[in-house]
Amino acid sequence: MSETETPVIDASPTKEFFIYMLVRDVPLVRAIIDLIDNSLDGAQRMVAALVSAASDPQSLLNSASETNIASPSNAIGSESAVASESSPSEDLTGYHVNVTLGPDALTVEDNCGGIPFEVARDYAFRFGRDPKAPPTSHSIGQFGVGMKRTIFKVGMSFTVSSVSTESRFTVSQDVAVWLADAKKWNFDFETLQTGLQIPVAETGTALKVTRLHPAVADLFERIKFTTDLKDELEQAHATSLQRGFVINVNGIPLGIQEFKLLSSDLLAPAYAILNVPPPIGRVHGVTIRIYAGLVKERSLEKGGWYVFCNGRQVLVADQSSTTGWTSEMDVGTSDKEKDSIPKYHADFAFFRGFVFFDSKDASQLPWTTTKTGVDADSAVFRAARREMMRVMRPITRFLRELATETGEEEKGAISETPLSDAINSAESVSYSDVNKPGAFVAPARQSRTRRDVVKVQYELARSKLDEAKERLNVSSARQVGELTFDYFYKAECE
Amino acid sequence: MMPPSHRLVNYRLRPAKAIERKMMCEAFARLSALHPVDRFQYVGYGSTSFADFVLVHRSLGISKMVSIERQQRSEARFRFNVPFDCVDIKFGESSDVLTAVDFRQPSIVWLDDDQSLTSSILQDIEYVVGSMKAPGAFAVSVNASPWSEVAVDPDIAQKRLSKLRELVGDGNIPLGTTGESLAGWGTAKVYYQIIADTIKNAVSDRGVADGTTYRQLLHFHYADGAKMLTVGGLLCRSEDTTAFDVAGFDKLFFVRRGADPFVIKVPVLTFREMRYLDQLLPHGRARIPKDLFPESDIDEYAIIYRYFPMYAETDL
Repeated sequence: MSETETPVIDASPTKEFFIYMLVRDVPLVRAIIDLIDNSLDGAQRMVAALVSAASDPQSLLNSASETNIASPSNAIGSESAVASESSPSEDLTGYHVNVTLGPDALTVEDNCGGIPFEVARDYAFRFGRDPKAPPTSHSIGQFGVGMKRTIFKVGMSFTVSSVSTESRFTVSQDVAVWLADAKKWNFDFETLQTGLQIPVAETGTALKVTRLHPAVADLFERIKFTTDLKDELEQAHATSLQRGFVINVNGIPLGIQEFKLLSSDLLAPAYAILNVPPPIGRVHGVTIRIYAGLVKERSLEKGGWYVFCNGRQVLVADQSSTTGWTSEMDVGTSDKEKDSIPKYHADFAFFRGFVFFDSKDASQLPWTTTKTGVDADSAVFRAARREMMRVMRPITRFLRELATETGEEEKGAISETPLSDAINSAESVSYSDVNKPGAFVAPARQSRTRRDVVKVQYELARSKLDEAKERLNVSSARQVGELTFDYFYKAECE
Repeated sequence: MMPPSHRLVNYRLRPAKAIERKMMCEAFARLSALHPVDRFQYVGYGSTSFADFVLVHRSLGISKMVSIERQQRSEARFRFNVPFDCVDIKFGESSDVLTAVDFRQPSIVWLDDDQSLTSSILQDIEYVVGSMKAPGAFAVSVNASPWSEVAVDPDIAQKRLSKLRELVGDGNIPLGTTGESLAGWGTAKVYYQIIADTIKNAVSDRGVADGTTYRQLLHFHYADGAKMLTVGGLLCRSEDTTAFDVAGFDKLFFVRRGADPFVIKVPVLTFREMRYLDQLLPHGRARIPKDLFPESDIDEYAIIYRYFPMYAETDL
């Protein structure tokens, strides 16, 4: 058989795959949150450019396609092969994104720098991230799937208008028309101007999705959908909101959630740092920061682990084996009775853990494409989980002790409650104020001493008690109890 | 614990409530365009007065009636007060008892509560409008007074918002709701949004399968004492569209299809004045002496005179 006749197997993608299949894997709320990731990446690029411009004016010229040329100390084989990757912390004040859910359209517009013409032409609309695409340091819009997936999930027509410092364009596409031509994978610029000089303050991107799917339009009008979106956005982008980024949903600004843990002389949160070196051929590794401790207000729902990748929250209050809680399957029956292994339950409602994975190279982070979970099989996450379990163990032990203490106090078996006292007297501090790595610190429980006195409690008819009070000439039920016991004891026991 | 409402007040002595009840009955009567009205089932909270049951039975001829009563202590007393033997009293919390009501027959349901809106009331609403066979009518009433009527507390706005969160849950509160917006009739406005959203969503979800749609007709505000809110409407089948138009619900002057309520105002007039005005209504307004009554009282009375309760007619 000659070369030309060799049959080949067609493995090309279909448009239907992106329009109808992929959209099923992401809930609508999360799909909308994905769009904000692009705005945040834009804001991150802008502030990074300003920061480097301050130290090196030349670099601002290259800001649109910032490349992560590693500093010598980060290079493989250099002295400190495992460099610590910082969390992005620049102030994002002044950058915003407005999300508007209407009966006819979803619009998302930001002032985060816009999409440069070349990026739009070559990368931004590709399905899947092109490895040649200019990287964004600490990117969260990592997979090259979010915007397109969200558009298809929401409606059948879209317009993207973007203004960057040197270009201005509009792309409009009717999805049904695009679908009709199976071969053509391009979108066309509706308007395009390049080589401009536009002030930074005027830059930004607006996405408008119209011809909404009826089910989506229905959801957009529901109170619960908008409150869910607000709540999940506040969670997902908590660290960016803390940095001053503003997100408005239907004109209402999101609130800032703070992550706090109890701290005092007696009680200190655990803090651990792990630096995972870059794999061969990569420049940047991953830094994992683990904070864990207690909060004052117990909440069964909110207890658990919170996991972030480059500041983007991907797990909320996780109480599963993913984050190191023991699953039912891993516990022997005899241990189940002893309750000696930390499977999440009510006693642990005071527990909070925060894990931050950071890398300038976002592809190293253990997140899923929907950013609603972690890639628990990845080596980076497994390393983190091992450490999380280690960090968690003294805390769950403390909480079991606390439950015992509370029980014994109720029974009157102990007089002091150092554990609950420690919780009540501690202050809530932001996790970011915990600077020194160290294990969880907490006081020890008062050992159960056989005390000489016991508390006795019983119920009886009110009328009878009142009669006895009158006869004994006392006013409290307690006095009735003591005097009647003495009376019996004197008569029958002495 | 507040005393149960039947211990506080005889419903029949609340004129605005009585007016609302009669207006609702007038709207229900037009259901005959969709289904013979006497063959609907009526489900409500009769308390000891059964005022709505009496009106519904007498004016619409409905004779299958279920009253839900959460006070179980005075069971015998409620049974003693049953006005007709066609009223079946079911004792227990509404959330439990509603599941025992047969909603496979066309029904008129009025969850006439006198407490604040709570998530359990919302769940009752969801359950009923999700279960009721169409055509049917559904209404819900709640006490929509702002929490703590006397607003001298400097933190009152924040406390009202916290109270609302406590009652209905964060997820049910429309975005942008502030504590300040809950003052006066503001609580009623927010409750309306929440209730309307709940009904619409539940019907929209079931409508995917059975084509049922919801058309709001009722949105009342009134205050006999507490500020009260009633929201309701019809559940229709797809084939009811023409009948709905023929029924002419829109022609009833108190019907409100949206967020703007019909406010029931009760003028303070003596019986003699009212009988006098009755003789000159609806066509003889010009003959009413200008200086005798305040103009606003006449305006208000002219709107509600047909529904004004006659306290002389009493059950003895």
